[in-house]
Amino acid sequence: MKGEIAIEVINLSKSFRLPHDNRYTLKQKLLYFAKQNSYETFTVLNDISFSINKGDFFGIIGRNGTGKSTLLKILAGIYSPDKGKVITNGEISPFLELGVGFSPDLSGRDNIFLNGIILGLTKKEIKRKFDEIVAFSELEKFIDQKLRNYSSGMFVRLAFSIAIFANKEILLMDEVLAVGDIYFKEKCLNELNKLKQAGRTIIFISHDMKTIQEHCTKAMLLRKGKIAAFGDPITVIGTYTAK
Amino acid sequence: MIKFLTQHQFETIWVLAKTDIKLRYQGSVLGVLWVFLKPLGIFLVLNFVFSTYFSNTPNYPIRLLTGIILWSLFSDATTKGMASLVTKSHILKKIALPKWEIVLSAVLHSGIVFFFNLIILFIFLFFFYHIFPNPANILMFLFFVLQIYLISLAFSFFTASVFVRLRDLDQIWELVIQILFYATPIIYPIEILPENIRKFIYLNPMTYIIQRARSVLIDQHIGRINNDIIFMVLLIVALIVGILFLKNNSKFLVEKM
Repeated sequence: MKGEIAIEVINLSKSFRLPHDNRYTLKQKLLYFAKQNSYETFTVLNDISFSINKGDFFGIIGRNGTGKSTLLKILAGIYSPDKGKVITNGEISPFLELGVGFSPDLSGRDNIFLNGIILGLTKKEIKRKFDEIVAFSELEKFIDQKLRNYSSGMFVRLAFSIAIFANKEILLMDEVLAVGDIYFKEKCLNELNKLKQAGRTIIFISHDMKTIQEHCTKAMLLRKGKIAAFGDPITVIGTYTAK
Repeated sequence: MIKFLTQHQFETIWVLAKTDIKLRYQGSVLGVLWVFLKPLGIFLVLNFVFSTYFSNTPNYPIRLLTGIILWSLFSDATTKGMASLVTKSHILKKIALPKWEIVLSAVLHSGIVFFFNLIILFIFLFFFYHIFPNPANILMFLFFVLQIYLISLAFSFFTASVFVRLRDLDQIWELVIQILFYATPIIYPIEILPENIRKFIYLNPMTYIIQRARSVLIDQHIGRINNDIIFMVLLIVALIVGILFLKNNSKFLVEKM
């Protein structure tokens, strides 16, 4: 299992066009028809290459706007790269945000099914894991309540519990542990470590250096769309904080 | 559609459609009853206004009701289908779901609502008009329902991705659909139109489908089905082109949401 490559990123580039004024409506389009829509190109990721092995707990760090989330979105297949390619070996569970598709007007129970399906589980699998999911979230009493009555902490608990049971071979997480109390966070990290031991690959964006240092086996620092450091988490964090 | 649906794809489409229905009537006192009340209300108003005027037309009210219910499938499915990607953008921005699944689930949602409406239609047909179409006619009627459904689906495959870039489309469509409603013989029988205008009215595919659907269900007249089959083939071609168009158009779509 170890040593096998889970994700390989080759010469990946991504840039966004930032129009100076967005023309969404027909009137705007007609009025400014002749005038070329002016925009500037903002390069978010600039020709980066790296690979992640199976069973890695991989941390991505860097300042805001350096392309961490964009990178994860490309890995998840939400954005298409401009140049380069991504080779994935195994199914991906994208948890760029917890509780995707959650609707406040549905009960916790309905939302588990909705979110679970969106995350790639089948109905049968959700039914089988349902009790475990609820138990992990510790929300047994509230599971038939509408989500609008949940506190934000409860919301995250439910969402994370589904995510943890919806795991495929590669898990992508974007700053998802930022909410929730420390006990629940601890519980989640334990669970992630268990998944790692089971051979899952976890790719993890965080601004919490302590978590990265304690849990990650490898880390990468992004700076202005380039890889500024890669490898041992302590060294990478060192490069990040040195500046 | 043409592709083989996996278990999970099917469930995704179904759960999204079901959720849309649950949320549609969420919080309203009468809830799902609105599915019945809305077309019924429109029917009662239009029938009140026009039934004396068109009293020569045999079975005018049931023809009107059939027309309204079939039309509401078309108008609801096209409107929802066109807006589907934009409405679900909060999901598409976070998870890579195939776009056609989203479009299909939105149109399916309208299809489910339509099947509730059919209940009203059959209640009227059986209990007020004592018309009992034989199974072949009902089957033929459902074939025309399928055609409306597929038209709406093809339309949605074409417009859903365009709507992401051009947000005027829903306003335009709202207006166009109003015009089309009057350009389709729903509240009036097509016979009242002069011969030279009828040709133009028949350019609207909904005219053809609704006329045929009413004739098999109410007049119990199946007629020649050659044209129906040609039309179905055209629809399937439109669907395939629609899916390809959506696929072709969706590569950088999420960034524009």
